[in-house]
Amino acid sequence: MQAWLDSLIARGAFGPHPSPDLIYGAAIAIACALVLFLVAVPFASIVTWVERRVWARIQSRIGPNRVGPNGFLQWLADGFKHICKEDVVPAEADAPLFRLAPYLVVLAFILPWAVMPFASSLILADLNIGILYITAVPALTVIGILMAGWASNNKWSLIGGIRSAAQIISYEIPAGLAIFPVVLMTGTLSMQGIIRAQGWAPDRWFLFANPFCFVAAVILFISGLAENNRTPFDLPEAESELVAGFATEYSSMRYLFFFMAEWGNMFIAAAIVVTLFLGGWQFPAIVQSPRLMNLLQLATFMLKCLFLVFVSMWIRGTLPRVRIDQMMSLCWKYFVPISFINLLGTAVWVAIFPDGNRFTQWLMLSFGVAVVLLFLARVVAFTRRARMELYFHPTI
Amino acid sequence: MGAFADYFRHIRDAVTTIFDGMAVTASHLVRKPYTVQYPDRIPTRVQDTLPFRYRGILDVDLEICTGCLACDRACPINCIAMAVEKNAQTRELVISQFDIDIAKCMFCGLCSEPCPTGAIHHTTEFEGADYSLESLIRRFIVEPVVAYKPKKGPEPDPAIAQLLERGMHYVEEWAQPGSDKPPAPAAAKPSVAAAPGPRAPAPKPVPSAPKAAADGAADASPSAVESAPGAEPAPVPEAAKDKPDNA
Ligand code: SF4
Ligand code: SF4
Repeated sequence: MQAWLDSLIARGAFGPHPSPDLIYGAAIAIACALVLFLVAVPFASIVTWVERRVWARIQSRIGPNRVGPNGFLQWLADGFKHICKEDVVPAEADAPLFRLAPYLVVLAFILPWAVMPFASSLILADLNIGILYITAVPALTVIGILMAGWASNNKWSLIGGIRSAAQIISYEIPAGLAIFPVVLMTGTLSMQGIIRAQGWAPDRWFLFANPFCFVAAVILFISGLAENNRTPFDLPEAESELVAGFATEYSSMRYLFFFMAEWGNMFIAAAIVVTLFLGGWQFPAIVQSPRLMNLLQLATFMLKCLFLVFVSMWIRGTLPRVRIDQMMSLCWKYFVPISFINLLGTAVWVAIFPDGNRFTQWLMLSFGVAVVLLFLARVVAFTRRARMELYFHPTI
Repeated sequence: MGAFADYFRHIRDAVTTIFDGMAVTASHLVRKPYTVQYPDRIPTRVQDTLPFRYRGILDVDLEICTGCLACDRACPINCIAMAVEKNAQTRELVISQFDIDIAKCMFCGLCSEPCPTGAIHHTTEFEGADYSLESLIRRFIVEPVVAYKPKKGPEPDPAIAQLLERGMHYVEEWAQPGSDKPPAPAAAKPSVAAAPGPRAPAPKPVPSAPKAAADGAADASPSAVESAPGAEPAPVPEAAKDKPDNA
């Protein structure tokens, strides 16, 4: 690629006196952006298919299974359908803002991928304030959504946009406060630094480091759901009240952008939780080759993230939408105070055990295992009670 | 203090109910989906799973149609169009038109009830969608055919005998509302003693005598017809008619 760029420079494609360094830098940036875009966008689209299949199974249906093997290409079909539709801008809308809004939302969904720690050396930019960046940038969504709601010149859209802004800004606070315990314990804001401070084994994860961290992880995950307008916090798009909220007036590709961003943000929220509390890409060093090691780490990270994405689909299939006042009281009356207590507790904990406490870690891990076992027992009990034919195959 | 306790109770309730709720949905994840993937991914065609008395799109066995026009007259909305002439030389009835407009038909079954041979009957077919109204008119006659003439004694042609038997089975089924069973020709032995069996499963020790007699009569007459097919086309409607009188 460098040779190609050199030949371009020699031919004077960039003007008479180009600076090679600038051009190389720009080329690398564009290449990285393209790669990320080509990963992020299909990911967000494929997740729609997975999500529909998961819901379907929860509702004893099958879900989309006609396009491609087991409906796998449904996302392509949906994408083409949306591209082929007419892009309507309402007559009374504020056209420039109306057109701009979806791009802002997509921007907010693409930017965090820059600091996504896929593996020990697979990260686009290991910013030393990575975790601040990854919580701050998605807040751009608020601007996009508010802009969409305002520019649509439609009451439903406006209410949806304002609800969304209120919701995202409110939940930023518990989310931020839930991040601080980890920052307190590691003393770094870099994504890679936080992951390096953990181990591959669950007892070395920050999730089980102490009781405060466990609560913080739960709060962070739920706040992530709320910030991405996921059920049970999808009030901005509440169909029964607001048609489609801020997206009511949108059609075609712009409409798709909003939903791509929503599904992609699911992954980002999951990645934050995985990085902070679930050991990130940590994988036992069983192979020498750094390349292979990176691949294994990538797989670990992706699996953990996808599991959390699955959990958020599962929650969407389980819980009904909360009321707006319930959502706000959950945030301000429960999450914010609890997060503050967590923060204080962690501070005290770090003062007492600067290097962590093995006994508590094992205790918390056994607690976690006990919760999972209890959960499985409940699942088995419910399955027995239903006396239904079991079917474990994920496809049909 | 109360508010404080409430606060923690809310947290506990939220955690435990969500925990259980998630377990419920997880148990659904491992269940077999209910979806029937009509029309193409099902083990058996839906048409083959429908009951015998299902009122689907009409069909006519022209081989055993006597050209009596009973169905034409019975249809309340005139969706059957028939033309029957008598050939002057051979003194045979010739059916030159037999159209059923499926678009108009309301599947009431009134046409198949008076048919003496069961030539016109419902099938279990229900997929009639098409691109024009015209194509929904089922034309059974391509060129004029001679109407079937009931023979004295058993039917000699085995193919027609088979059709006739099936037709009579339809007639029999329609004459006995409620006996919604899959066709079981073996059970239809013309014996008065055995006849009440299918009608009254697990009979109470002594049903009232007149009712038992009525059952016997209603069951016996079609069986008798079956034993001498085509001998006299009339008895079946009569069996249906005299039942309400007796019961
Ligand atoms: S089923 Fe009813 S409506 Fe249809 S042709 Fe027969 S009598 Fe007429
Ligand atoms: S009632 Fe039966 S036998 Fe008579 S014309 Fe109609 S189909 Fe033919």
